[in-house]
Amino acid sequence: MEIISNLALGFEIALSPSTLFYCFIGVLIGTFIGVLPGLGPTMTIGMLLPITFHLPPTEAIIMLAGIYYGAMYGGSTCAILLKLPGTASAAVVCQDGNAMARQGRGGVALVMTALASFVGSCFAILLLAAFAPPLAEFALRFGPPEYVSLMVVGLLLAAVMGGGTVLKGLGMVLLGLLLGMVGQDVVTGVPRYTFGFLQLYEGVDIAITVIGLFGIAELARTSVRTNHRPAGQAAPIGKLTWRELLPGRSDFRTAAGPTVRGTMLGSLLGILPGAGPALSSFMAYAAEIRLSSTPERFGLGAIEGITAPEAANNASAQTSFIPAFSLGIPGDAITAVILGGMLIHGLVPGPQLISSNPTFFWAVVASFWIGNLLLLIINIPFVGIWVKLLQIPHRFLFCGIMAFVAVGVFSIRGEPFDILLVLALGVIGFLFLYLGLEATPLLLGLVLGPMLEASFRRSMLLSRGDPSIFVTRPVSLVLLTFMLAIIVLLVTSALRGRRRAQRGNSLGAETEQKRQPL
Amino acid sequence: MSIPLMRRSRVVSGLLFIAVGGLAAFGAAGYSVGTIARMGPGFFPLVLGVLLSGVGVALLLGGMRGNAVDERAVQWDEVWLGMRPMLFSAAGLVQFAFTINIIGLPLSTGILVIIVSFSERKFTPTERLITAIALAGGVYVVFGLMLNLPIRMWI
Repeated sequence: MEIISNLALGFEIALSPSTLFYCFIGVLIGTFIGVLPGLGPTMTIGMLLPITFHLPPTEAIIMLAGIYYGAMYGGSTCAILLKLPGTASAAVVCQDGNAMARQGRGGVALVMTALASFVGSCFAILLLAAFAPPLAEFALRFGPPEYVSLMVVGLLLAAVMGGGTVLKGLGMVLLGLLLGMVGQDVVTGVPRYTFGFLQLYEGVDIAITVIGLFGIAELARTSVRTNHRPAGQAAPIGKLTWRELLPGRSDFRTAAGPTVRGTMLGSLLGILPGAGPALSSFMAYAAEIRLSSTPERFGLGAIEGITAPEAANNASAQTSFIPAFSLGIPGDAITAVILGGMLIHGLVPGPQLISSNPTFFWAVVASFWIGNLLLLIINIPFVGIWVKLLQIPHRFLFCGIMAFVAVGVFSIRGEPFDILLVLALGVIGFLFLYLGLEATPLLLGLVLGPMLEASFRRSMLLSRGDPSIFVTRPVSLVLLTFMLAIIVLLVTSALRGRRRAQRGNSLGAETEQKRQPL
Repeated sequence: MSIPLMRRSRVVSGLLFIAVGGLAAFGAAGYSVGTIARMGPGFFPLVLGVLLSGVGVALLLGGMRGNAVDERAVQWDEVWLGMRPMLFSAAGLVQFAFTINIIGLPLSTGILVIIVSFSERKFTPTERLITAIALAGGVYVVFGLMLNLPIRMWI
């Protein structure tokens, strides 16, 4: 089968020393920032993006992607040991994971989450290898109207799935699209929304947006929460000996089902734009509670409660690359940033990516698998290092991150203006956090905005101003019908939900839904 | 039952969207809008601005009816607490922006760290200094030596 020969080629490249090195660095950094609360993969990738300029494109993307799924492994470590989520997707692991730690089963929790993450990733990578190329083939026949419909559907999904109310999500998408309008219009050369600032002529840099909205804002919030937390919440870690680390046979048996289910759920959700690892892990947790015959054990150290979410978040991280590589539509915020990075390196995202850069695609897929293997090693035997790391007081991390933010942002263009910009975005982002406004839909809008406008313009030129082109072309029609179906589903479920709530009923899995941006 | 108006996230968000959407649309009208067949630079932004305001109105109205199940009170008190780290971070970053091209990377980073460290009360003066020096040095090593970026390093 062609897939096997392609994978063989990919592995050949991925196993070369330089590629391997950057893969390792990526997953190492990923675990590092995943473990530390307040530092997110989104911001880190944004910060390291300009630094990857000096690297060849394949290595650069492999490293950045490694940071992404590496963080998915690391996030649970902090959640289990300190009851603080290292990444938003690990938030749901805090309860049961920390409970297990207090019962002396911390080692088991750490091992099981790493294994679950690995299983989730492996399956999702297979999906990526199997489905991305044919999907891209199909999408090669897309014209501008199909792109418009595709992007609209993607943005709508992002608005809906991003947590928070649909209206808020829609508003954030629109806000992101507007932000994407800043700068010189490519077609007419007219500077838009630049307020006379020359530095804005090229638009708002995606790395800066990410660092401000996801980085500074989250950092400030973690600062508030760490300093004003009621005392006595952390678990005494003690020494983790090898024997304590090994899960028993019954642990494996209990965790098998949830891991599989989490993988399935995560793989599916990761493909949908806007649905990120955080959502996947929450839904996997909720699903496990509903499916369990003993739901009262959740929150008290149920191993299902940590393995399902972890499998889900890793699976969704990997599958979010499916729409990214095959269609050029990011599956979530981080993939959006990585796509931005690909653009910088001359790899234009879109259906033609796989066919014109097959070595890139297959090398990346192979390196995903290698990276996950490396992560298994980093996270299980070397977990002691991460435990030590967590004992650094927050205030040092805060200063360190701020320093790196300042220098990192400055290194993009050498423009002091960018620092003020990132600050402004940080303040706005902080406000957004407390208003329940998700930054992910905004980011997707920012990334897709210019493309959407260009495609829309082209569609209108093609049809000479006739908007019916979007429904007369078959693929576009299908996409829009799909969108309509989603809207209908939403409205009916929202109405049903309101009616249920008015009857004073509270359904089973009412886990506190902290939908935070990554 | 009722959460006061300004503590309802949908009301505040709605107002925000209306304001931004309105401003955006207003600004967009200033660029030539054109027709749908030949879109000018202002067309798309205008549409976006109008849509955003529309969403804002819907949010505002929904928030004012106040019968939502998922409505959360905005935790303004936590926002207020966040002002301290925000303020010091802002001061530090502004300082950095203005001095980086004058006194170089390690120095401005060091000063940044010192300013930012005041957002945390738990620092002792010695710790502040050591952290500042360590980070200034670290940043120099990573960005100056390892990555060799064209940034001014000294006065």
